[in-house]
Amino acid sequence: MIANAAWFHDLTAIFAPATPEDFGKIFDTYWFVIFAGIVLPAYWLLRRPALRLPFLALACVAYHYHFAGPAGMLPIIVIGTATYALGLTRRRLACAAGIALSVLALSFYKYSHFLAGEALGHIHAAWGAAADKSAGSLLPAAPPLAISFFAFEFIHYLYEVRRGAVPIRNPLRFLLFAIFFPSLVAGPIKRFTQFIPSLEHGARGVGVDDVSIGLRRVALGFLKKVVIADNLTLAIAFYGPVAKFATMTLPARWTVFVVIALRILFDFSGYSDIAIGLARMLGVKLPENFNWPYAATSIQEFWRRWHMSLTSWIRDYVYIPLGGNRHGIARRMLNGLIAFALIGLWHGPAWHFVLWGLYHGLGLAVCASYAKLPIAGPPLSRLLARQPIPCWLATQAFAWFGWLIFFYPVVEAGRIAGLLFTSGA
Amino acid sequence: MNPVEIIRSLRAALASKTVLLGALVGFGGMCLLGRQAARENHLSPFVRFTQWTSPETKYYPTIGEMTSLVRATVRPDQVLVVVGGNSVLRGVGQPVQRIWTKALQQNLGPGYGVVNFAFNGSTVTDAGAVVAEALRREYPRQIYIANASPAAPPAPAGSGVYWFVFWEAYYKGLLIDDPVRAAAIAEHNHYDVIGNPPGGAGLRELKAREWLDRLFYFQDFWNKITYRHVNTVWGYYMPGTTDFLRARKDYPDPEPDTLTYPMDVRYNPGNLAVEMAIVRGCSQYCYLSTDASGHFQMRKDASGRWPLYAPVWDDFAAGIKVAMPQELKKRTLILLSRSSPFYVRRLTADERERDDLAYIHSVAMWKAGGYDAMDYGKDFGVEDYGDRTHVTWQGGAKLAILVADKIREMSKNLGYLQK
Amino acid sequence: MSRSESPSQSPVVRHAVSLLMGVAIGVFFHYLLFRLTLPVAPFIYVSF
Repeated sequence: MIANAAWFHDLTAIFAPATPEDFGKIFDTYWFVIFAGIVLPAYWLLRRPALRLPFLALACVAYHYHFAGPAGMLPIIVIGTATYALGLTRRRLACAAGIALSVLALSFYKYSHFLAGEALGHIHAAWGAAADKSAGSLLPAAPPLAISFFAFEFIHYLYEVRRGAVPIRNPLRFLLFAIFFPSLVAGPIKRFTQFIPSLEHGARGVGVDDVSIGLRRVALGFLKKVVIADNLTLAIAFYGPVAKFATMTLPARWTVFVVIALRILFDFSGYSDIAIGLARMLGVKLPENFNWPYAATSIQEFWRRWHMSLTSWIRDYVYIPLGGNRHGIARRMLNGLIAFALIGLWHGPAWHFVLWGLYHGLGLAVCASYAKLPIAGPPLSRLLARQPIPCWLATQAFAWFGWLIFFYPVVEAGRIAGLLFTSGA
Repeated sequence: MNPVEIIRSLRAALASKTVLLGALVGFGGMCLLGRQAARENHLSPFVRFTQWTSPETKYYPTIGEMTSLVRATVRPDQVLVVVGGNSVLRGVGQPVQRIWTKALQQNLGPGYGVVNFAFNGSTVTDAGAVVAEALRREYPRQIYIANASPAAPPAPAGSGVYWFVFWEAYYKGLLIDDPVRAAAIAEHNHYDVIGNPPGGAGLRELKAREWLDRLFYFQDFWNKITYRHVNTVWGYYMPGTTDFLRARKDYPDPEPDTLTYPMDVRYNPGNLAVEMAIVRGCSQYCYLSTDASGHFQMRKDASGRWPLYAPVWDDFAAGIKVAMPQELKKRTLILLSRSSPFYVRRLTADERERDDLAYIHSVAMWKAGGYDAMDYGKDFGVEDYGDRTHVTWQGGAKLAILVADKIREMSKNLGYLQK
Repeated sequence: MSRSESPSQSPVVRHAVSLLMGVAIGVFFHYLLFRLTLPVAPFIYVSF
């Protein structure tokens, strides 16, 4: 009888997991509006941390369940529990095993087909095909939602614990670190040593200032994402394809080129703003992700301003462990290229992402080393230091041409770049 | 101070409580403005919906817009005639000055108020049907018109492209609480919810939106802004210009006048085979038998009659039954528009007979279901059609006469004309 | 939260600006509810 009631049906429908076509739209859904409209006021009204944190944890579980579904939650529960348990032991070997688990899980869920088909397949076609097939039979239809973010945060956690940091003993706090809903799907990537104290601080005393600042940040994020970036996305979908591009005038092509660069910034930084703003409305401070990257006057500076939580992670857990710049220029360049290849690969299991990463890695290597070239290096470096505008133009041109590689297959990217310098087809 | 520091100091200077208060006031004020907008008619002057005021260009007309339009253009003492249905009744191929519903209004005279709420691809249970139902108390003397194909069961309410109109009215409490219809809708959506996208998540989001709109009335206000002042969603609305900011009211009604088209443009010889298949298809699966191995036998039976294929007609009857609440059926007129004689003439004599049967039988089934129905086009000329299904404005003028007569008859039978 | 950095900013101006900012945010969120309707293909987050 109850199951026939319309309200019951609606209620179960509310909690039902999203379907694959939902993925990608998280903050810009009505489900989220209703979720936030309930969770935020309830959190504020539950004045005590002893009530707030469990409530928030429940909300995060509901949120994760809705967007990831049971199939998406299960791997995260398993890996998260293992990470928590292994971290508690504080043993170096246990932590290393946990790190390996996250790396393996990420590779399996996100990169199986890529490794099998693209990597192994190029070495030996038959093995590649067989690996691809067996991976296909084991893999779910889609990778667990946000597996990249989870893996990176768990790896960071165990790495730091292995180095001596105090693990998170309280399972509730660990759960909140793992599936904190504002940053769950699209970052920023958190560091637990800042997050946990901030979480507790917010639970104790989230105030009017936090809510006001957070609300403004959320509004800014939605302005960037929904009003600006979504419109730019529509325009790019129309003008972007090479066939259309080739028919346009030169100024129009450059406009589309600029729009492509602006879109990714507004879309991604908008989402980060919403995440940071929401967390702030709970009294929690998340790391910044973007700091006016299109104002950078060098490639190094660009990467200190773009997707900062990712680049700092790669720096701390890939670049520096590999040796960083401690073993001479050649090693440093190699480490840098590996780091950037991984930054590229993190965005998706495809070679053009790796290529984009290497493109930036090479650019960065040149940028960081040209001053040391014999004879020409130092004067060139001194000259450029006094020319911020040409440096800015060169940096942004480099970055914006890089977006063509990021978004289009290589050949098409090349054609589009070429079409920017000829008015014909 | 550099710009960054200026911005920072400005931000620091904001008074948090006042900001939050302002946000509440601002949002609350918008909700009130939205409620107000839902009661105003901003779609003026209005003849019909065009692509600029339809989901084709991301414009989703609201119940408030449509009911306000009716209130502004139809007096309470007039019999309200809501024309729903699809492009056929929207007057595709008829320029807006000569659209058939204008002729219909003229034929009916001042005792009736005709509004054209047809949309491309709309069905019997869509849009116009919802508006008519929502206005049943203010305009108890009403007739709702839609068109349908022979033996085609109407789509369940709240499904398809125009589902948003139904669900908005639903959440605003404007519809009759009909358990039969509700059960049919739930069953239809069940298949979607249990994991066959599209429909599951999409429906949930749509319902959430309409439920929120009941609280905050955002669709009415911002539709009004989009229609009258500025459009804010990028689109390639008008070829040759990137001006997407133009208000929707400033786009002209783009419908061409197919009466001016030569015959080989209206009836492209290259498409003949495809169109003939479609025309045949109207009745093909309605009259057939199955042989011992289950194959379809599309021919007359031993006694020289076309055999009724029961599953199709049973489905049809079942769909008719649950499409709308019982009390609304008798004031609903279903028009079955026949295909252009250009194609019907090219059928074989037997096929023509079958085609005719399908229409006659469908009309009878609708009537048996409690609706009123009629077919048209049998004695129209080739020149009355702009293509296989859409009539020119001249054909529309003929249609208007037929429909006006029918409406007067229905009004008499429904007791609308008693003083 | 520290008070205004510029001592010349009067409380009335401060609250007026704050109120206006708040109203703008409220109006924007109302518009946002309308805008969420309109479909745009999701972006790269799908692959995360």
